[in-house]
Amino acid sequence: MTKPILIALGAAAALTLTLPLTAQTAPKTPGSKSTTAITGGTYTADAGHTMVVWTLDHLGFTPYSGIFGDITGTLTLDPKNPAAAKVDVTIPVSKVTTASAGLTKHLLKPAGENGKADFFGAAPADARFVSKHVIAKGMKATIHGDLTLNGVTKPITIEATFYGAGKAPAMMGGKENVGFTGKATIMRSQFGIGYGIPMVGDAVTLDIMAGFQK
Amino acid sequence: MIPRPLIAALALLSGASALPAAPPAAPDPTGIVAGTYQADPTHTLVGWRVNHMGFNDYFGLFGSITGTLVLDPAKLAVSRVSMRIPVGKVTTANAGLTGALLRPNTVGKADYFGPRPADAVFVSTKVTPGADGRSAMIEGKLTLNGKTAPVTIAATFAGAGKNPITRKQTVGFHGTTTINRTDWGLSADIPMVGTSVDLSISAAFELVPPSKAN
Repeated sequence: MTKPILIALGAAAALTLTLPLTAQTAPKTPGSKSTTAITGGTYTADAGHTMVVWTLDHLGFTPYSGIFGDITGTLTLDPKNPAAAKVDVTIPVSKVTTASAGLTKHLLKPAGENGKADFFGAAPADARFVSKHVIAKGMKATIHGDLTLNGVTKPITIEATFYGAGKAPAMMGGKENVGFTGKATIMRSQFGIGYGIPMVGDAVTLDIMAGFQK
Repeated sequence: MIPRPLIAALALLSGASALPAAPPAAPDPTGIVAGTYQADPTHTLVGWRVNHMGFNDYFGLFGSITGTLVLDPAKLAVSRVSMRIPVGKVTTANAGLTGALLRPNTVGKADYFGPRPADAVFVSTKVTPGADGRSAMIEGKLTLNGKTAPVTIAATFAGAGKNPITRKQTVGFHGTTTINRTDWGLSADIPMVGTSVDLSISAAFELVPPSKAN
């Protein structure tokens, strides 16, 4: 389990107070937008800071968003050859998070007598994304891969952008980190989750925030 | 009053007959009915997004938002909106982080919101309609963490129509803004956790029948 970084930050903030010489300069984040900070290799997803925010239309009135967090997985990345990158992540659907307890309960409501759940059903299997082909363009990449969700595997495409890289302070573990944002749109009906369409949109926008470390 | 989750009501609809081919709301602002509206707390959200150590973004939600919108499509500039955001119900995909946001620190103060934080309140002071007829800049005052500071929201009309389940005339908007959390005295963990916070607002409002609006 990943210890919440925020708690470690409390320790970091306390320590900063004992370093008055640094107080005159604006503090910087350990991560920067420079890809030169990426050494390459195999990284592990920082589960406490890797998430997929999903957004879909509700009745044509408003977009509605929820979160899949606690995402685990690996990224193999060579900064000299980003097209050879491979990513394989596992998304615990059963931990879906929304701001409405009633909705979360409905998303995980057991299948009815017909054996079909409205959404994910009780104790759904983890979803998984495995990249197959990466096209790199500077700070961006198009990641083609297979998403398995609700027992159905379909190709999806993620438009990814490099976010930042750097080394965490030693007191926070000292790991090298590299992070990305990503966007994808899926049609949930293709994954057998067709409940409520079109009152609840078929198209689901996925906003991916991913941190990897080694 | 807690509105029954719409999504549960969809079960009734889908069981009764085939769903219509299109959602009830149209992205056509001429369908907006003038009047006083109340926020639908189950479909009104503020998503917040903040830089984590320069490595990645982190996303969380505020839900259960209540509020009032006075809207006349013929006189958009005199619209006014007030929203109440229960900070104590902040939602993240990480129970440890949610706890840290709402916990007193070791010296008994709050790093972030602390235990039992007061609701945040946004009250508009000026609405400037956009030339496109479907957007507006909403200037207002946000009270958060006991401090009040100005905020400007770039709002876009999303859809309007009659909700087929509640039978209520509904109008929805999406809004974005970026705030500096230090303006509200929320300065923990800077720069490890970013100062600027992107807010993505999704708001559904239901028309209050004129007999009850006074």
